Amino acid sequence: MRLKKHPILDVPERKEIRFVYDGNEVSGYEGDTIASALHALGHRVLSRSIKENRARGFYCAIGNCGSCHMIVNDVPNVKTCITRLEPGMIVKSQKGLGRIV
Amino acid sequence: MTEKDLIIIGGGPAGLSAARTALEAGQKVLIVDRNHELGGQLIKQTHKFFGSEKQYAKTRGITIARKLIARLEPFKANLEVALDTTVLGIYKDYVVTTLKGETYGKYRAKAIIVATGASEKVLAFENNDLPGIYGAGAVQTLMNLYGVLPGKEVVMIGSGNIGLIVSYQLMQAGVTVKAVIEAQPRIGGYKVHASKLRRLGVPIMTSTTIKKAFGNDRLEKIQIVGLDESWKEIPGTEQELYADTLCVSVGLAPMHQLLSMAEIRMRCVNELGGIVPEITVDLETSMANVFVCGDVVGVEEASSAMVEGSLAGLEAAAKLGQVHPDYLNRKIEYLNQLESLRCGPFGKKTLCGLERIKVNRNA
Amino acid sequence: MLDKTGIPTPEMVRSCFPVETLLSKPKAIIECYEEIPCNPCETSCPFGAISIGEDINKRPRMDSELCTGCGQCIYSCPGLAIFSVQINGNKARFRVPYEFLPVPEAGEKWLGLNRAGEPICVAEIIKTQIQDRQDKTVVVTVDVDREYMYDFITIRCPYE
Repeated sequence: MRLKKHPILDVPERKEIRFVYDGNEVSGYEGDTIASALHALGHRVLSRSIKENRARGFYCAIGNCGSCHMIVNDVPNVKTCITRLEPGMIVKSQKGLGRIV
Repeated sequence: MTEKDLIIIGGGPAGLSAARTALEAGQKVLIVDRNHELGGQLIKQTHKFFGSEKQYAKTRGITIARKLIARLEPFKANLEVALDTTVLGIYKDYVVTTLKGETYGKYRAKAIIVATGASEKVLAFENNDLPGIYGAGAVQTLMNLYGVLPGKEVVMIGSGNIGLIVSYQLMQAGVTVKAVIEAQPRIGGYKVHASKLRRLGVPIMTSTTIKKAFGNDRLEKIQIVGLDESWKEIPGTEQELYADTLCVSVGLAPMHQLLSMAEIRMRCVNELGGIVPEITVDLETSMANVFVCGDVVGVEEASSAMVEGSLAGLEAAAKLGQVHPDYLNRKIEYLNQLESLRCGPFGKKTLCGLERIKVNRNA
Repeated sequence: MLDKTGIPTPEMVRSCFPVETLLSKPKAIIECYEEIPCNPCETSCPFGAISIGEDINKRPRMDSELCTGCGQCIYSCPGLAIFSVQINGNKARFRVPYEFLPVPEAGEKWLGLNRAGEPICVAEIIKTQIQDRQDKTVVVTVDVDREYMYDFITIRCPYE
């Protein structure tokens, strides 16, 4: 669900960026964060909570709340709401505490 | 350890304005900001701002950000900007530590201006952690910065200026706002914002709050309930509203953490949004040469953030021996502007709060 | 009531209008009922018709005799609280600020809404003004039947 046009903002054409999410090849655009790209694809559940396994999506979108932690290129607890999307990133949902490999 | 004269933490309207006056005074400045670009929250604000011409009234937030950044151009030689850089700590010996990616940095500053702004408060209700429930600022970020629509049908909680403005911006992006819910018996923000929404057919329900959210791994509907004069739920007034997105806009709290860490004297002041530092009229904290400006010293508007920033930059530079060529006039001008912005009914709360944190300068 | 609903009473709306005899020429109407720190309307008026003064929290005062209906205040108000109106026989011609897509086109018939967002009349689009200095606030000239002059406030696109 992307904005195609807006009465105030310019909505420019942007370059597509391919990345992998939970094993599937998907794409976002230049300028996206990982979380915004996933959101545009309809993925709202980004991780699950540590004890109760409750679904987590992002809340604050500016790196304050910690709801958006995912595993990116094997690094856990990445704040996907403020991390720029890069080509070839391997993004996985994080279940519970991150494990430092 | 890198020695710096003046470090400004936060490159939003307050930090950028502080940088400008400090640079004008001949001071070398380092701005550190954890975001990818300068401008703070201004870069998501598509609406025209209030205040007077001096604070860029009738200019859109995104344009104000560009102007504030452009104003630093003439002083490039004395300005350093570190982006994507999070300040991890401020210490009592004026050491400032940072993290950029995996790179750890350590600075010692002669003076510091903390302009870290504020972050959104949360509201406690059952299932408030469901995906699809966002801070109102988050929705603004998604839409205006990344061009992603948050959902199809939104309910906004909170009728303060942020709740009203973001609701309007959602409508502009083609998203339906089903209702604005407000727990108080009155609308919290400017009535002109509320009127704009009512013209669009968006209902504003006062004396109403959210009781519970429902959904299986994502928001599907909410239950709201009426409140009486004592803020108690009125049994039998429960209603269900279908929505795939809920925006929570219940106020901002100053991001005080760096100040608290340095054991600067703080107070909890509700009128200012939370924990704020004690300050002199020059915006200096209890730690000499550490200044504050913007929402971190009281949640207000960008207009006052810019003026406070200008004042903090002036004072910090003077403390370091770089006295602005027009110091006295500027100081009076900034204090007058702040008074002007705060002397109306919306400024009463702020003035009340500021009374509780203003201290006299120690000899 | 404005405090609870965001909608002014009919009396409040009427108090912003000058006597109807003055409306043979277009006049700006400012619906700013609250004291907030703001004064771009005053500074945007080239004819000195709008005054607020030193204390920018004061509500703007409009001198309709001085107003020429030029419309600069319409797109300068950050609250979009200003429009202009002129009586032409059995029609009231409005110029209203508009910040949505699609932008109306001359000749179209749109829905005319009241302050509660309810469609109450037909709004004939006469002209759409988009200039750089308006900074994306479009000003739309609209004709409605004169009987709706105190109720009409904005337009809505009739098609999806």
